[in-house]
Amino acid sequence: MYWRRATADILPECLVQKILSCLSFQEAAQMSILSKTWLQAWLAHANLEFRVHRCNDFETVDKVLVRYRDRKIPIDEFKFWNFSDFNSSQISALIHKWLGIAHQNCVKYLLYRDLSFSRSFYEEHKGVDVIRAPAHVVSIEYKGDKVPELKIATDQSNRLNNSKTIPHCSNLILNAEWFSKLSYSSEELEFVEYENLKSLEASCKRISDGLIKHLISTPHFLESLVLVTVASGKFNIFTVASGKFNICRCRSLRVLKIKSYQNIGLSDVLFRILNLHLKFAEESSKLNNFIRDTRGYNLNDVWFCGLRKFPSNSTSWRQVSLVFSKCNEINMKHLQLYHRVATPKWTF
Amino acid sequence: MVKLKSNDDKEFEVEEAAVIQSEMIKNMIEDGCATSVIPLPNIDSKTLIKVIEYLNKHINMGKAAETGEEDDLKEFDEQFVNMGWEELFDVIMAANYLNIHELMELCCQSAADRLKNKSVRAVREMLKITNDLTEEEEQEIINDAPWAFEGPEIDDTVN
Repeated sequence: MYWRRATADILPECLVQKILSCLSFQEAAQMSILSKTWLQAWLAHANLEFRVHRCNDFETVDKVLVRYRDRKIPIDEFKFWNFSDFNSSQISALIHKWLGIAHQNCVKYLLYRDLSFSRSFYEEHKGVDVIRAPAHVVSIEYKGDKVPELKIATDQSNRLNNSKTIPHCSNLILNAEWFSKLSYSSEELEFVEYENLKSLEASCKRISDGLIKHLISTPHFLESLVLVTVASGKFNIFTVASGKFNICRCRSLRVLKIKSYQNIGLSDVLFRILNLHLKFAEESSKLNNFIRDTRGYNLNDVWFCGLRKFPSNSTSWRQVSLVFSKCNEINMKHLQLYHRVATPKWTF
Repeated sequence: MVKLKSNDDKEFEVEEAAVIQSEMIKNMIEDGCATSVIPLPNIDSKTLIKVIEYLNKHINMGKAAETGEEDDLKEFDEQFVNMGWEELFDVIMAANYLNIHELMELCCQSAADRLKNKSVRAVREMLKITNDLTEEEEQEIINDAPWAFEGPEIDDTVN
């Protein structure tokens, strides 16, 4: 039989790479055994995924990344799951080195997820200063066309310093639930550098006043802000809210979710913050969604009476939902709610 | 109108709005290098006809979203990639040369979808790949990434 040519052999390596990038990581790896061209294409595969469990996995990953660094092979995606439970400073230095290589090779999507849950691991590398995200921010996910440098560093006071630039970052999810404090130092970052940040989800035990204030009041592009707190004691979003905090200044905000799983029982503070948000919603006709997930609040009649006092001429609300997990006694007679506020739902 | 000439000396007239989806030709036009016929020495007429068919259909990509023709385009794309491997690779090469990003994505995705779950033997046969690796090299690849070659039974058919 006559073949005009052997089809796939004519495909240059760069096109084989394109096809590989449409496959899953494992499928792409399988193709490396087809021929030398496919092997070469695989060795320069732009999407990297690593799951590290055992000690010798670290060696393997290091070998691969050093090759990418030395040959300056571009990396588009870098996904790294750390399942290991090794707490040595050597390993943390390695991880920093790898993240550094990913950045140097123009990574567009980076996922670092640390599943070792090892507190001491983080304590170990307080002093390292490449990308110190792994130190206290346990999961980083971001996407962007040209993500230059994302530096999330932590120092000894568990501070999140978002230093310098995230100009192209469009989606940043911070998840640092079990750290005592996530704070932000404004000296390090001008708000204009956040201008492409569209959504932010932060969950942590405590969010500093400065971070919230800065995020809400300055960027004009933030569309979605989700704050989840598992705080014990004083929930300082309330502190922020009751103070000079002016949510109205964030004109672009479409979705604001504040979730709290802590029993607070400070009805007056709650009232103040809700009042403030209602006021905000009036001023910002674009706000579509405001969801309070207040699992664990102690409710009382005073609170609902307070709710009734809200201005009745607000036209800008699209949705207000109140979700409570604990509802002992609600006097339904007091529930003559402001007509645009949905009847509270509660779940048990 | 822009004239394109394939490597077998056939000329094709294409609307400028369609042909500028090719970054390469767009640049040529912008630089004023596209005054007469644009020769495409890497593309035969059969492939060029396919590419032009794609360009004409995708001429108003932006508008499609507004007018609800997205489904129509999607259907067209599905039909479009329904071709043999040889032809598909020719189109990929042409799309790469002309720098038509969307077409490139479409064809590479189609190629990848067809390769999914196929055994090494099946892929080699489908793509007529000459295996130039020695047995030792093959074994080394498997040893380097054993996880890649584990997993459920794979499809050994060549369709």
